[in-house]
Amino acid sequence: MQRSVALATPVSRFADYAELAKPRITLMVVLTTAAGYYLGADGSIDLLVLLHALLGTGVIAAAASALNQVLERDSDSRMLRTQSRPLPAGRMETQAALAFGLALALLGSIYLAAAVNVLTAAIGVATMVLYVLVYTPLKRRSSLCTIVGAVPGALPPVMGWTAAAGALSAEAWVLFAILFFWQLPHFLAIAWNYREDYARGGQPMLSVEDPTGGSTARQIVLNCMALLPVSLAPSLLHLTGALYFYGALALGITYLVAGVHAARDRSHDAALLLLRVSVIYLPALLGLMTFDKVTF
Amino acid sequence: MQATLFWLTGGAFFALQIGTLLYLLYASPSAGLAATGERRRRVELVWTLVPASILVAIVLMVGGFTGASWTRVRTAAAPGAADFALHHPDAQAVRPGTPR
Repeated sequence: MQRSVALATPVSRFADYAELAKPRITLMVVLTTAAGYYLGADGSIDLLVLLHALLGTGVIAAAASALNQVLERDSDSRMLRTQSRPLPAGRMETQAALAFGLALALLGSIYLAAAVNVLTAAIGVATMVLYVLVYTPLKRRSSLCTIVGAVPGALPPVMGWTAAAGALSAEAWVLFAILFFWQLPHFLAIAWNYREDYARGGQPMLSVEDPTGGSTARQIVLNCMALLPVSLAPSLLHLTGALYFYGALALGITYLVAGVHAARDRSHDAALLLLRVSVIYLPALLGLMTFDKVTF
Repeated sequence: MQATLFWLTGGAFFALQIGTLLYLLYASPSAGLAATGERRRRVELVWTLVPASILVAIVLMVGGFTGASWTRVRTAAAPGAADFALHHPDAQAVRPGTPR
């Protein structure tokens, strides 16, 4: 769809490119990568490699966000939540956003391979491909897109781990599983509160196909339950100590209680509370993990 | 204690998982699933089975790791430990294939 592009000042143009890169999501990606790096580092931290890893991962996350917005520009224009983004609002041309996304994708991949290692770059490319070419088109077809989308969402700490350790291991997959299970109740809470908006955008999220909320409620509780043992696993793998273990148990129970409340209540407020708990849960858990890392 | 809590929480998940699967497979359509039909039931089955598969993989990794760790603990020498050998006049070493 061709749209007229409004005249923009350099400052507003920059702001639009920044918005295309979804800075809050990119920041979250960078933070989880940093946690993965710290946990994967054996002994001292190489600050230069850490900086390269964070920069490269951040650029790849920004690329994935920009390319996602290019592909979703039409459905974004029908949703209240997204219609003010640069593309649906007509503040940027599609070609410019596509070129920006592709340039960042290329730059991030090459940078990670050259400055960090090939394995981390390969996981970065896999993350982008899954997010842009699998998750994004699937959003128009099935609610299972949320599960598929949770995979690239869970890979940044694995990239941090491989940037530090140079290889994958059981601990890296546990970090992946924590992020995977954490995302599902988080996104289901968003999908519940914006179900009418998603329906307008033609995206059949679980909450859209499930007017009673039964399926969404079951999946929120199931995934909160799955997160509980998975979040305890780092201590059983001797990656973290007892402080982390009991802290993770307390955080996991809190997340589960919020999930059960949202599942029983099925209201906007209960879903919002679950969303808020999820936003506190992840930094708190990763903070505990880094604080109580076992060093040999 | 930590391992017990891990297995307890994992067990609780699998109990809930099995309950959900039984509900999805055998619940009467009047229980709320008929409205959106068979397709939604199949989609939710996939939603339910994916976390279970990931959790099984994690449990196997943790189980494998803790098993391997225990073997290392049993076979590792303490720091500064000295090697020693026991000799007994009646002891006889019999190697496989040695004629008795």
